[in-house]
Amino acid sequence: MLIKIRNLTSIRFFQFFFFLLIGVIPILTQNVIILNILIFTMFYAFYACSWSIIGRYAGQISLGHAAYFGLGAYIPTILFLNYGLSPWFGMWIGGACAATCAVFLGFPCFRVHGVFYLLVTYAFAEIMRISFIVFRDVTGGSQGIFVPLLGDSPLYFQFNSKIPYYYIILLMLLTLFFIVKKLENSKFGYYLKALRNDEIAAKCVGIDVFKYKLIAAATSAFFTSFAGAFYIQLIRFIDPFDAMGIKRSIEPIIISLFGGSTISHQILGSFLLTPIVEYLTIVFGGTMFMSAIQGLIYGLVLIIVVIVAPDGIGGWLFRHFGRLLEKLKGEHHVSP
Amino acid sequence: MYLLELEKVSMKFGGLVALKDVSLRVKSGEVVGIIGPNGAGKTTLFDLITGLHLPTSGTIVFKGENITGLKPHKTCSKGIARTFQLVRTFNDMTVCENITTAALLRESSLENAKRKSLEIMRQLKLEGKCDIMAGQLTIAERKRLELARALATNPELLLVDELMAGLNPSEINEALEIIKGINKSGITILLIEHVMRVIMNVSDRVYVLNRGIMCAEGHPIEVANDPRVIEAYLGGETYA
Repeated sequence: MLIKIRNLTSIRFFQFFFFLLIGVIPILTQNVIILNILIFTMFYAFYACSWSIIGRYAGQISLGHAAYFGLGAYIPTILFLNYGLSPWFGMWIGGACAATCAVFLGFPCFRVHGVFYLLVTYAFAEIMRISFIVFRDVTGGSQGIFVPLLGDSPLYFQFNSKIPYYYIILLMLLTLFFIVKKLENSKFGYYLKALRNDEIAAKCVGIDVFKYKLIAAATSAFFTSFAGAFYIQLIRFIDPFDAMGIKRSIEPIIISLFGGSTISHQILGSFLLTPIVEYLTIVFGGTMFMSAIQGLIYGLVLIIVVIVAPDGIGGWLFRHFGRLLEKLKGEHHVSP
Repeated sequence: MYLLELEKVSMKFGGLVALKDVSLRVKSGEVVGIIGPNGAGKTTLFDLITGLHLPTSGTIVFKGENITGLKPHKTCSKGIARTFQLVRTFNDMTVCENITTAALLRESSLENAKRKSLEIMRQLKLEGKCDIMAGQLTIAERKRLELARALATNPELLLVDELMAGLNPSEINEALEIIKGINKSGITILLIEHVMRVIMNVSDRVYVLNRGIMCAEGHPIEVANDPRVIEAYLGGETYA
């Protein structure tokens, strides 16, 4: 028991130190490349964590999160362009739309189990992508949509410097982190874990499996749309392929598989994987070679992780360094 | 007034008739056994009572209320809990978490649910296993965990599906005591079992199911000597 408590506080301390370190980096360096890489790292961590609420915690693999991502990116921008509504409000409407879509998709799919949810979500993302190309009057079609430059205007989610974006995504990630941590230790978290383990047994201990899957899907879609809203404000441009292509749907799955099963592991996973990919993107630019090598890296990393550490890099590190840490500690603290 | 009443319940899977016009009555406080050869439809009967399957025809009444076709989580909150023949513990969760999840049905806060799960673990002698993953337990322990999980939902009727299968004699004795203890605490038990020693020992009445048809009912000793039962198990026209 003593070891357990000590372990727990040391994990908490590590998490605190980790976020503090990220928090002070912009004070130490204003290098645009470093900041940009870190912004994308946190963005992908946020995206992967949002996906993991349904994909990991509830165990329902979704291959269509690009649809929610796209809704989150497009809706605030369309509302801004047509009605002058600030993206700060628009993103909540986008979130509501994404969550509603997730519920509607879940209705037919969560009554059966297995691969159906994966197929339907994938089909849904494709339908969304194609309809966003077709309805060009509203969405700008395949040419995409631009967020008009306003200069430094915090009320409209636009900044000249990268630093505000850095702190916004850090705050978003922290908020999501604490929400999911809270969920893990709640009735909802226990129920998700149980239904992921054995659906029939979960039903027979009184869990409304269908309802809890729907809630998980809606929550996941809601946060994913926020990732989309942040992305478009950062890049100021999006097109249907970038927002809702299959690559967008696969990204969070790869990071989540690479990282591990809990939210801390996934954040760790993004911090280990994204900087490499982003750095190579900067070095090689947008060449054909790059887009090939990015897929290659993702593929290789995935194969290695699945073979060497099926529980993700987080689980692997914890297993190996956790033991080491305990050994080191055992020498320092002699328990009474 | 019966706690559970099945009236002419039938279940067809496509062309296969799994149960045909099965009627069954359980009084409050009883231990009722169900025996029958493999494939007789015993587990299907449990699936119908808990709501995992919808019966083709017939009605199921629990505490005077028609529960036919109610979803499993609803029947569970009405007070029916079950264990499974092939164990279905939540293997990625610790023993404590397994029981706590079930206790959350009646308890509003996680703290209370955890306290209740500790109580049940003590009752079923699982307290030493609190922080062990369910997947790492032995079969006997996992079966006991299933029982604990079922009890955590505060059932009035407990459906026990072949608790003794795969246990050694000393484990069977232990499980027998547990079943008796649960019944003494006021919970009615419906028991599927192949081990006749268990049936003889604990049940007040026995039903015999053969090829989906309820072919005999009565006191365990009467039933064991019933020619129809012997025929069901050993085949007809024998002098066994």
